[in-house]
Amino acid sequence: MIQVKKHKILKILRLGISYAVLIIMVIVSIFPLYYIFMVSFSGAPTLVSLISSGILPKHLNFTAYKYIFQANIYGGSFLLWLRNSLILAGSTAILSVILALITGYALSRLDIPAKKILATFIYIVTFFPYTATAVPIYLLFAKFHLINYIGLILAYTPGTSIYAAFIAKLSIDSIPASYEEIAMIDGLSRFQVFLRIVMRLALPVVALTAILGFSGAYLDFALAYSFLVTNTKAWTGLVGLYYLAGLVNQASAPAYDLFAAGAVIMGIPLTALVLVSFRMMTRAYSAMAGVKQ
Amino acid sequence: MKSYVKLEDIWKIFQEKKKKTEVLRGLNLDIEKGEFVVVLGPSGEGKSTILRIISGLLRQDKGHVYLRGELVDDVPPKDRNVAMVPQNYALYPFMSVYDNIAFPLKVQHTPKEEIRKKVLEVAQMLRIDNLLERKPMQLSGGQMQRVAIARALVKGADIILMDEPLSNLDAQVRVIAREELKQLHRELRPTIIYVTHDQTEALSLATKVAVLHEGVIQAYGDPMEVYKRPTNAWVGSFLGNPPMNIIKGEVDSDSIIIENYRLGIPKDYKDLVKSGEKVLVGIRPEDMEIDNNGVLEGTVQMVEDLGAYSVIHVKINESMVRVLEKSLSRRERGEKIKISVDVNKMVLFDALTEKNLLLQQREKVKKN
Repeated sequence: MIQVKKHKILKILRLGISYAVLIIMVIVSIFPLYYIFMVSFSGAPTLVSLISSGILPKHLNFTAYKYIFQANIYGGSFLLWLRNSLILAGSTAILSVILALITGYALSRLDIPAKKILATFIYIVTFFPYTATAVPIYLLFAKFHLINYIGLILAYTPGTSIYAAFIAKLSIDSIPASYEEIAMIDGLSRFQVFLRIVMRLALPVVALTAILGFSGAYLDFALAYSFLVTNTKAWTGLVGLYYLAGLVNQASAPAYDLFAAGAVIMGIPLTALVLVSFRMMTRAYSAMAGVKQ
Repeated sequence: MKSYVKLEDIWKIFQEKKKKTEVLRGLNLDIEKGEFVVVLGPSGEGKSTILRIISGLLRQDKGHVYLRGELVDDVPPKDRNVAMVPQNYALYPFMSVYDNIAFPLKVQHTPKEEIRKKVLEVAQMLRIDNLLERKPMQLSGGQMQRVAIARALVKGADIILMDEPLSNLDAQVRVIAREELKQLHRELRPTIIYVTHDQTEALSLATKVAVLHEGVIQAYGDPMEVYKRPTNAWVGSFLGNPPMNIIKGEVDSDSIIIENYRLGIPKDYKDLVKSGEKVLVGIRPEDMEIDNNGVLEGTVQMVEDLGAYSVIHVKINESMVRVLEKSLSRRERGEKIKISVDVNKMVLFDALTEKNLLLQQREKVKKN
């Protein structure tokens, strides 16, 4: 009896500790989001005001959102910048997927000289923090008249795709070659097989690369700022928001409610993309389950 | 008759880090239209490589491939009009069974109506028409295999390559699948090239069996013929379960001496051997019998009970032989027994070249 009791107590203790850790982690990760959300509806431009008025809002205030959608400053508007961001991030995502998958396929399937060295090199390159390259990239691209959107996309893409190429290689390694062989015998060329069979079987990696590419470009400030700051119409959402909320001027008080509202709006497309990608990944994996190698 | 699939002096060398492996070394194979040829060989001897070369997925280093009488060395896989059933079936997991079967037709931009008609036709033939809406992961092994065959049949290619398509099935299903495959071949008469390491499959399915070893075809012909009269000692010891006993012997006037016992010379070989010649004697375990009037004497070393029969391992002086005995009798280890041999069913091989003496003689005659 004592033995059984001891086991029960231990079990409760174990569960108690696990839940405590989980709850703390949830609070740590959810609270900042909740805080931003609340600030955006607070109607007050400071951070302190929210805390003094309590955690739960008494009423929702839409002034910040109204201002963001209507304001027309520096010859641009938030919606224009948001559109710019989406185009930029979307193009980066698409280009990253193509580059990563083609590289991954080549490393996995084709007989290229010095393949192993190349793969290792790619792996090492992913270790470098990519923001550190902003200045050399700017200087290099300035020489080629690439201080524009195309330049930005070209700068973003390798950062994502070099990382994704490595994952793509591992993923394609695990796809039995017979899928491709059968498709080739059935009448597709190697490139068609790549598009119709390999990309489809490696869908989780495609989705992951798309997310990485999209969010990398979408959430970048440093490079976008240095490339686009002079052309206000070409600003991205994040750069525009920075100016809109007055964060650029240290002397004046920044409007945190505007910044928070912008962050919430910008978060919507990203969340949607992540949800769709996760669905794609789950589906692809469940379809692959039970495939004999 | 003109050959339908012809491999002429095929060489294939794989290079892996400075280590060269000659997988195929001057392989020749002639296959007539409508034949069911099983390429049989141990694992890792390049059986799949042969299929990949015929389909064009892999290019041979030397030699030529002819399909339907035409040289196809430079023709890409998609234009060779062959179909393949791979070992893992390679059914696309993201497509339904219907789409999987329809895939080769879709690639060729066949009109939708025609695709529907053809897919239903093969599906009915293979009795998978009730599975068309399912995804491959919802199928059993046997069903997957039938879908893979349906996909190979649907585009109407008359040369079908099969890479151990039954090896992923469990024993009972495999026997049924074997029967069905045979039936299918009888009805449609495609030219099938089937590779396997399973000799039961080879002997039961093939109209012709080709035994692959050391990069060349060692024996090619009617399965029972190859079994009964192996072209060389290796084929004899590879084919059959239990395999053929190969014992060293010496011809002495009108008899052969093995392990100090005297046996007669099989009648087909009487004119081919002369006194004093060293030979290898091949005796099938089923052509030997434990018999008190037997010539050979030995001791039982091991007994393998296999249900329908037992394999008795017997030591005769220095040689170990396997003898087949119908069950029921119980043999003990160390028991002394006598064995009689069906002399006319014995096969003699040259002691040096290990070739069947009959065959060697025929080659000599041809040369002169």
